[in-house]
Amino acid sequence: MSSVAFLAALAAIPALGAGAAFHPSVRPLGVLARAGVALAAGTVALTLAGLVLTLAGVAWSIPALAALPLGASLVLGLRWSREPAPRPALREGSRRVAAASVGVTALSLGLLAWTLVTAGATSVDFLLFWGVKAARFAQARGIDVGLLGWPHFGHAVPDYPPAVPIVQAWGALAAGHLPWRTVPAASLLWVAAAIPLLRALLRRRLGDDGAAGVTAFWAAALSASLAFSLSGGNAEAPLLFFETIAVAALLVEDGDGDSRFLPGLMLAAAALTKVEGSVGALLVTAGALARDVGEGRRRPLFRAVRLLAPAALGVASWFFFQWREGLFVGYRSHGALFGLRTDFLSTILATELDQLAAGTRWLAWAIPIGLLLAARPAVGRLLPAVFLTIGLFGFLVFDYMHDQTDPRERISWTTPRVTQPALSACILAAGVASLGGGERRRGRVRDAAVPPAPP
Amino acid sequence: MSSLARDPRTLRVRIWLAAALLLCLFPLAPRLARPLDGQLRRPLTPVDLTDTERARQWLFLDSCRPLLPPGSSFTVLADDPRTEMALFMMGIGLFPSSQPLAHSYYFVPTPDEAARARYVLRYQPAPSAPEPGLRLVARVPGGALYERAARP
Repeated sequence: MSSVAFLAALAAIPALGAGAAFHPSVRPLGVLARAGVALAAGTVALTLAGLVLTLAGVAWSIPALAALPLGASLVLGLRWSREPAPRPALREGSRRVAAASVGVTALSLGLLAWTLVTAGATSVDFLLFWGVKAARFAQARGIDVGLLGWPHFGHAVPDYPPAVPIVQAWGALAAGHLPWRTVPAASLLWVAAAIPLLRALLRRRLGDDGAAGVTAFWAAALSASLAFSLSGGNAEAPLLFFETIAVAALLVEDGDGDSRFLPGLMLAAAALTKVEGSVGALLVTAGALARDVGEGRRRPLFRAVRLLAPAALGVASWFFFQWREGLFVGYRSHGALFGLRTDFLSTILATELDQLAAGTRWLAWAIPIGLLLAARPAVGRLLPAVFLTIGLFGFLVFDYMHDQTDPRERISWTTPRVTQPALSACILAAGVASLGGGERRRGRVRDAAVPPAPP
Repeated sequence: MSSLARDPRTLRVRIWLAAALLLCLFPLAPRLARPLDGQLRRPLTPVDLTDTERARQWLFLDSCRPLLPPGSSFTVLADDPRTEMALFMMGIGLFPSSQPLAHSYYFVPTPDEAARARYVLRYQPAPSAPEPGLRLVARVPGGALYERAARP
């Protein structure tokens, strides 16, 4: 019964962010896709409410935590619903392609669900700190500041951003306690929420059939990877959802008139989920800025600031909380910034490469890279994804070079998990390159939407 | 060859779909290779299939859970310091209404802190109590739970 209550509480999170589903840039996306946006908005709102209530000394409860997000959602939703929105594009794809995509996606999700439910993909980190924080926060009815500041809780990375423990504590409050065996299975929620949203976004540039094909591949690749990398119950699945949708929304932008609401919201959620989420937000924003400058779009810097501002505010709110509660402010580093063991570089690169099998003998990487290279794309258009993929690897190499002892064990433990947003971005870049037009031929950029000139 | 197959865009969509199906085979194959009934068992711990050592430790802690009164303090003992550290980390979450006190932290003994614990959870115990003044509350799978006698 407690498992049902926990899952029901998680399924109710979109209600907390329902207002976002009425934003003019989101309204044309379809019901399930809009529910995905509401899930992300609800996660951000719930996290901020958790911080505010703890700061105010108000004990957490389901009504108390829900009140602020629901109020804000109602006000914003009413305001946005009055603004004009583009009409949804008519569906024009092949039924057979759609059916094949749905079938493959359902098979992928079913296999992931099976693995998660039978405790075959649970992260040990869930038992050691993600779930621990959630259980203690729910018990304390607030962020347990005493616990986070306790020296003997240092193993639980107390400075990590709080979204996942707060979301799991929300479920635990509804259930009466944290249902440890059920929580890992709830990781499926984030993957399932990403799929309709990803497909709705991609069809803007790839068309119905192209979006169906790439989304099916994404679902298969990331479902296999999440199970293989033992990501159940930890923050990998939500981070993957947030960063994937942010990159997809930026890749399908038509020009400089597109709203940055959706990618900004997703990057904020990513930054509140993991430290790597902040790195991802910076990389994706840098990629969008480089793309916009390269394509001569208007006010690229202003639009980059708008894209990154929600993530910066989210992180600032967490740092403010740390400061107000007398905790360590910021994120602890793995050593002196430039105290690098360059002699480990070849070991790091070799071990990382070895750890990219993603549960598919490297095919999840090899196939999109092959399709990307075959398309010979105009890379500039793909920069938000390319920056995330390459930049994340650069960041990880830099991070691992801070290890003062052989880093192979840490790499083999973390790389399969933390490279998943990079894999996701690689798939999206390949999808846009191979099916979204803009191929480079003989030094010229050709847009697939424009018929070639007659000979 | 049909007109559909001649269209390079349609061909590429098919390649994406076929590749997606190919990827599904990797998690599917091990499922099909083992008897189904063994794969449909309800797990006893969250890590039954990912970390058998942690699963055993989890079962021990979970067995102590009904015996530990809310609001009590506890510490965990094990022969191996790595195991003791893991048990301590998991115990903080598994007993959220209790106060955890470390017997060691990252292999550094903290006896003064542990001495304040009312309950001592001994993983894979020796036949006798781990220290004088402890009363056996119960033997549980994987260990035993002791209560420290109240100080006069």
